[in-house]
Amino acid sequence: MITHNVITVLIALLISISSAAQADDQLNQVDYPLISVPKGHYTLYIPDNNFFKLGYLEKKVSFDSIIHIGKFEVSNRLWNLCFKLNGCNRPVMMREGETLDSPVVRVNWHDAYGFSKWYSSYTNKSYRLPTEEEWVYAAYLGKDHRNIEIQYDYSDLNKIREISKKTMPLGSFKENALGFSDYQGNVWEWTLTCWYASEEKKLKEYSSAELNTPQACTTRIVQGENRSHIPDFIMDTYSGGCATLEPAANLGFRLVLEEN
Amino acid sequence: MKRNLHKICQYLTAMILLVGFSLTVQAQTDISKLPRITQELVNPPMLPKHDQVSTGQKVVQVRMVIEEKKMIIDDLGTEVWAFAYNGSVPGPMIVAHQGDYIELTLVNKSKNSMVHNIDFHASTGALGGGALTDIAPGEEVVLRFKATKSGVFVYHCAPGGIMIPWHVIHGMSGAITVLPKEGLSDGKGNKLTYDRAYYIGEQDYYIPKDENGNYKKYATPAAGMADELEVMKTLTPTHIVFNGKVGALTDKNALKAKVGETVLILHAQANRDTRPHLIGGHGDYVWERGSFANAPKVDLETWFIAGGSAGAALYTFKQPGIYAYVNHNLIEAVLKGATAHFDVEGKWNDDLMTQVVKPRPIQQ
Repeated sequence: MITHNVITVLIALLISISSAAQADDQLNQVDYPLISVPKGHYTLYIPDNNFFKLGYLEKKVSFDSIIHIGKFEVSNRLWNLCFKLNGCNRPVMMREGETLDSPVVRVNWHDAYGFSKWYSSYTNKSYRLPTEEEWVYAAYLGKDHRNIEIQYDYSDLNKIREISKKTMPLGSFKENALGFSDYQGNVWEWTLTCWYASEEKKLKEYSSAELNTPQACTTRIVQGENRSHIPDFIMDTYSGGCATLEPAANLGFRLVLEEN
Repeated sequence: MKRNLHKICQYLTAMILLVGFSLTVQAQTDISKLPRITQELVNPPMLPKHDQVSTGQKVVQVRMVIEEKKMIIDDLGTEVWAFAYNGSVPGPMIVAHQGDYIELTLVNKSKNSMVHNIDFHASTGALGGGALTDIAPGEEVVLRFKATKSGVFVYHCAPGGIMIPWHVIHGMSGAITVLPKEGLSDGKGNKLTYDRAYYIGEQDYYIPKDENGNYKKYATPAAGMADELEVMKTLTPTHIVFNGKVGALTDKNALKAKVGETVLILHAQANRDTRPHLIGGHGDYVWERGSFANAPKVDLETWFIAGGSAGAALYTFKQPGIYAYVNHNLIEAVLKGATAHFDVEGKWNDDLMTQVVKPRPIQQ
């Protein structure tokens, strides 16, 4: 009887897996393209207050080596490979019209962190989430990125406005000179960087190793169309009007490859 | 639409800032010269020591430490992760006078797991201070605001989006009383005073159940969130209680008073409508919507506290005995927990009520 139940559950599970991973015949061909951001230094402007945007704290950042960062966010397809190989605890949840080539969304920080660990072991390389410093450098290439969201020309964003929350296939949004894509799309991306209110902690230098553990803190910076800080257990945000400024449309992530 | 809203938000922010800056220029009060008092906050239902009539404009300094801790909320041992201002649900009452400055040091304990803040309905600007008080565990912030309006006002945590209701239904609200400088009045030029004041914070909880119908327990606050959101969306609380848990203010915990004493009852509900009723008594003077600038309503049987507000009622006890003070949706009072008791000492007044004939068989 128990065996019978187990088999029934297994069959049900297999059916759900196969339907979730539908059209994933290319599953084993998924790769994760990286771009190389040259070493250098820049000023990271950290909003002193998300609501008032009264000013920015300036943090001098320098990179002694090339940053290898994902050209795109991690896709549904790649996430499903992780699930198929037992690295991730669930298949992707897609809305109608979304495809396996869209970024995986509705993931909390721990999901993203767990994926980076799995992908590292899968590839036998060392992947992790980017720090905010790395993400902003890759997106704006060291240029002044203050008030990006306010100065942004919304007339160019018809695509986002029309599709609302639904994700678009990778590469549907803007790409910068280095080929860093979709950084102002409708997916906001988890970083390793911890959120603090105090200037001292905002400006403190933390190594990626210090941050690359769930114990480092519980509220992480997300970057994308806007910057925000979100508790690490949140997978999805709800619209909230002015009380929250603009909530993140979707939460996803991309990876950085560490050179050993 | 969302974009437009965003733009509107930004314009509004800019306008608020402009207005804020011009006001700063006009501000005349030299706050550094005002006397400062440190108000020792106490656990509900008590109020901190205070004067009913102001002795002059002042800065009221308070310190609140936020604690995330498990609390038992009923006789079944049902647990909630309380996000507790100063360790209590509701958070402590602050008392000041109109025109005073409140200077709050808000501390987010290092062992907490979340960002918290505070939104004072009594304050003006910056989302009630919420936008200036976001702090991570291990941080503190000092906020000062001017109590421009008199009344009883709710404060609550509002850390953005989905976190707002979720924090509030974990007990993260309290209240502040801003008395008129000259004290309370009936709106016809007559002063009103009280011998005692009690503060009742009404709390709705949404505790998920397992497949056997037992309330679930969670190792961390975050672990319960997904389940709790589903219960929250039904808008049907599993518990509606006064001062954090079922029975916090009943029986041996009853609120004390004496015949002839005038009691001020402050009632706050940060999330949900309620309708206090003193069984066997009345509201002699009721500031139903909390504002002391409005003349109180008189002689009410039941009064209405809108969700997200606090109200005040003044009553002089005329008979001894146990009074139940309830949310007079009686299902909420009896089945969900929203009941308190007043235990009143004194001499019975036959004129007001008497049992003319003891119960007996029906007489033909």
